[in-house]
Amino acid sequence: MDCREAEYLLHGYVDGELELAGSYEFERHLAGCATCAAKLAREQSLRARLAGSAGSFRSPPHLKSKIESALAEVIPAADIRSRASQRHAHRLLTAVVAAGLCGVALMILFRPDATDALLVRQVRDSHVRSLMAAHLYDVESSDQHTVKPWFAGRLDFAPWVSNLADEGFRLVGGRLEYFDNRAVAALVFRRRDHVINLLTWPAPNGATTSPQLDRLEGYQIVHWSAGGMTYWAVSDLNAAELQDFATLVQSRANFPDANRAAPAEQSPANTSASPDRR
Amino acid sequence: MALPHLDAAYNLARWMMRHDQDAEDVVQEAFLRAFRYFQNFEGETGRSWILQIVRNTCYTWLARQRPATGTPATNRLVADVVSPSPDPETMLTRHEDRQLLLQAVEALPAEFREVIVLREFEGLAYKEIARIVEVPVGTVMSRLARGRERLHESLDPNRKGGAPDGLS
Repeated sequence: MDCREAEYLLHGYVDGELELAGSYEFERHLAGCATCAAKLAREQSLRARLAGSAGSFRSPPHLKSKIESALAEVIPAADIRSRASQRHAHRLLTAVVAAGLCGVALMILFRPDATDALLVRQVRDSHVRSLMAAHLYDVESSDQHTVKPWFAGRLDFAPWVSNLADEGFRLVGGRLEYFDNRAVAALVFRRRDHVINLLTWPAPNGATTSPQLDRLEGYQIVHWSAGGMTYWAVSDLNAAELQDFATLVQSRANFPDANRAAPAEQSPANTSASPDRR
Repeated sequence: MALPHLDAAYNLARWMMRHDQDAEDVVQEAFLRAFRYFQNFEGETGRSWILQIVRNTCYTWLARQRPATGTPATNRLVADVVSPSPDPETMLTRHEDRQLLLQAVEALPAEFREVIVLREFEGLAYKEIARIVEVPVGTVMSRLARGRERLHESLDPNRKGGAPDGLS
C-alpha cells in the first residue's frame, strides 16, 4: 500500500468502517510511514474534539406535545384516504356472515337499551380524549404477556389481551379508563394510520349481545357482550374493517381453546370455524 | 403516543436549519409526513426513514425560504447546544474551543455539515448515512474527508498540515 491508497482509506479507518483486511494493510503502511501516521493522529484528534463538544441539540420539551396534538388532528382526517376499502369490501361480507353465525351460535339476541346511546357517546369521547391528550397508553407494548399482567393489580377483573398483528391489528399498549362508573381496561390497537381503542369491562348482568355498529360524527363503534364481558371497539377506521376486528376479538376472546389449537396463532380460519365446538 | 427518534430528528433539523423555530417546524412536518406514510418507524430502519424525511423537509424549507445567505446565527449556537459538565479550571478555554468548533461545523456547506453531524453527533455508520443522504457509501466517505479538511482549515488556518482538499 502506498500513501495515495492509505490516504484514500484514512477516513474509513478513522470511522472503523474498513474491512479487516483493509485495516490490516492500512496499519502495516502506517507502521512505516510517519507522514500518514501524523495525518491519522490529526483526524483522530479532530474526532475527539467533536465528540467532547457535545454538539447535539436536544429537542425542546414542548415540541413532543406540539407534534402529538398536531398528529391527533391529522389522524382522523387520514380516514378519507380509503384506497384500501374496496379491497376489504368482500371482507365486510365475511364479517357480517361471521357475526351472524356467532349470534346464532349464542342463540341470544338482546335489543340495545336506551343507555347504549349514552355509552356510545362516552366511548367515542374516551377515544378522542386518548388521542388528543396524547394519553394513548399507560403501558406501551405489543406483547400480551406484558400488557395483561400490567392490568392485574389495577382491575378487579382480568381483561382479554392478545396481539392481533398477524391479522393486521397491531397491539400497541393498554391503559386504564374510568367509565360507566367503574375502572375499565382500554387496549390500543393500530391498523395502518388508525388507532382502535378496545374498552372492556364485565357485563352488568352477564348478558350476551351480538355486535352492533354505531356511527357517531365520523367514528365507528362496534359493541357486544359475551362470556360475561362487554366490549366496545371504537375507531375512525372504516366500518368494514372495524367489524372484522370485532369478529376477530369475539372469536379469540370467547373461544380461547380454538385459539390454542391453532398453531402459532396464525390461522384465523381455524379460530373462526370454531364456534360449533362447544 | 410514542415519537421515536425525536431527538435525532431535532438535532439534524437544528443543524441544517441553524434556527430553533425553523427546526421545530421542520420536525413537526416531517413527523406528520412519516405517520401518514408509515405505520411503524421504530428501530434502525425507522430512524433512517425519519431522518431522511427530516433532511428532505429541511432542503425544501431552505429552498423556499432563504436565497442561500450562508450566514448562520452563530452567536446563539453554543448556548443552545447541550452543555457538557464544566471543569472550572479549564472552563474558559474549553468553552472557547467548543464555540470555535461548533461554529466551524455550523459554517460548513450543507452537504458536508449533514454527514459530519450524522457521523459525529449521531454516531451513525456510513451505510445508514448513505441511506439518509441518498448517495453511495463512497460519497459519504469522501464528503466526510472534505468536510473534516474544511474543519481543520477553519480551526487552524495557519497550519495546513494535512492533505489539500480533494485527493489530487
